[in-house]
Amino acid sequence: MLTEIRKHCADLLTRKQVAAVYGLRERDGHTAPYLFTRAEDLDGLTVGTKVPVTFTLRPAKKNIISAFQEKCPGQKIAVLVRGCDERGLYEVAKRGQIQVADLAIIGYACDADQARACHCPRPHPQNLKFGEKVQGPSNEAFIAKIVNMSVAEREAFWRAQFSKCIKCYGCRNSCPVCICKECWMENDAFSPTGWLPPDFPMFHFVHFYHLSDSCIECGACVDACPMDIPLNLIRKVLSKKVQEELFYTAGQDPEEKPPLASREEAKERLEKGI
Amino acid sequence: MNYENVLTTCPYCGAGCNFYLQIMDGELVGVLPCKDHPVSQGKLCIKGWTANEFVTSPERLTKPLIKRDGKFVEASWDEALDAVAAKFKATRENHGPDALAVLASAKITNEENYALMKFTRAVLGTNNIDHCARL
Amino acid sequence: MSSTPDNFEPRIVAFLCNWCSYTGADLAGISRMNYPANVRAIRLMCSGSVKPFFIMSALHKGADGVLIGGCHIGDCHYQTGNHLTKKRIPITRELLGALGIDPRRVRLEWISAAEGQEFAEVIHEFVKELKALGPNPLAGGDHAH
Ligand code: SF4
Ligand code: SF4
Ligand code: FES
Repeated sequence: MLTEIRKHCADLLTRKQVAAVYGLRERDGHTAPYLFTRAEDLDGLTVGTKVPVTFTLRPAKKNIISAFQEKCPGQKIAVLVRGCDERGLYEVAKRGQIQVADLAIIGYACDADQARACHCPRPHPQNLKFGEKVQGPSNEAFIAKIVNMSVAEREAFWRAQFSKCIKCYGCRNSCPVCICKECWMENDAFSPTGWLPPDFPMFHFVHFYHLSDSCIECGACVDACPMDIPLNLIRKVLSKKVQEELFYTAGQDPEEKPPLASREEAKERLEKGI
Repeated sequence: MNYENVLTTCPYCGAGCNFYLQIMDGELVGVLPCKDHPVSQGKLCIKGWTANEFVTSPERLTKPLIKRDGKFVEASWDEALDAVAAKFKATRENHGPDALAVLASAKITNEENYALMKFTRAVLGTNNIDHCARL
Repeated sequence: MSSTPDNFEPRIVAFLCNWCSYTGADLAGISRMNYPANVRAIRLMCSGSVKPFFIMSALHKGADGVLIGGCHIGDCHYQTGNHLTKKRIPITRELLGALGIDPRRVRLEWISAAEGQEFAEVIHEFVKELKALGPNPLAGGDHAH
């Protein structure tokens, strides 16, 4: 798969169809995002490791693609994405951060092992060009752990989990859709500066709620958490509720409006078939 | 536009977490954890996550200062290092190597601390080395 | 859940929209309707300005229940403010439930300016329900601030 992807990207660059290819580069045994502008550098291009390409630069509070589009308006850029990367792009596009029309989205599928490791229900992008689609594991089985608990058991469970929190903000920083200029998680009303662990459940409540209709289930927050707090348990419960209640799934269509920020009735959305 | 990531070690403590500094057109724009680094495994604490911020802080000391007539004045690195070396030498000659002591830092890497230990014992000739994390 | 003392009087924080629910509560008062004195009303311009964080804050600071009152759908004075509320509250309740905070502590009601009676009834019912639930285990928070 990698050889074909490199060849495809090299073609795009040499035929000047795109100004740059944004993807992952492996160097000295480590993988990081990189903006390829020369075809000869594409030997270093890699895919398939769980390194996200969409995350928010801080303190700029925007992602690399949006920075690129600001600096080089109208220039086309190719982006190599997995399912979750694409969903992340769509979510920030809905919020006016990037122009999807100026992107050449090149998608590749994750394999079943990756999907299991990520608890990912949709391990492939819509713009799938490379690789075979596999079925992701179901969320139901995953969230059963807390769904089956009583309210009091859940409280005890989360108190124990959140008491481990060191307020590193890694869950927020690594989130591809956390783009707010002013973050409620930094608000002293929820979590006074210097207080550890944060009060149950204020600090986490803010993050969970604010992402309830934009979480794309990439698992980046969980991967970034040094304390191994299973943040995705709650996120998936909320995604399910948003689907059932508001007939909405995040990361599907860049033209959709986020339901909790739009004044459309859930019923109207259903009638429109979106 | 240019965008690349440079792997480096966190400057804040001796744990040795690694992360990428994100460089966009020559400008430092952020920190990105390194997922496949054996020490930090893609996780950082809040200091590491914000390690890009002090680089451009106006409060950062960017030039050596030497105290002259009770006031700090800017000096070149050569002047500063010469001043330190001269005082080290003078103290060692007049009072012996055990009149010197070195305080290592938790904010430098393991390897730098190792070099400091070697410097203290082999160059200065004393065992007086300690670190600030002894609470 | 801890056992409930017999004299437990739940504290309810009510976020009421200025145009309908607050006026409805006023009407209940003016008409000398009888309802329990457990409510602290906070007047907002619209139920749509009740951020879920307000609800969480009230619970964290010790409220036993939170009532959100707004105009009936179609009657919001800012047209669609309560449409936002209608979407937010179920998600907020789901989140509270998943975190282990009984979602029955949060209640959304549409109460018009003419519905003093309804307001009084809602309070009666809510107080009864909260008494059965007992004191909010979050009361006081972990840090006294
Ligand atoms: S979250 Fe899904 S799409 Fe993303 S890396 Fe994991 S399996 Fe692939
Ligand atoms: S990543 Fe984990 S430890 Fe860090 S702030 Fe988030 S929940 Fe807390
Ligand atoms: S004005 Fe009453 S709900 Fe908006």
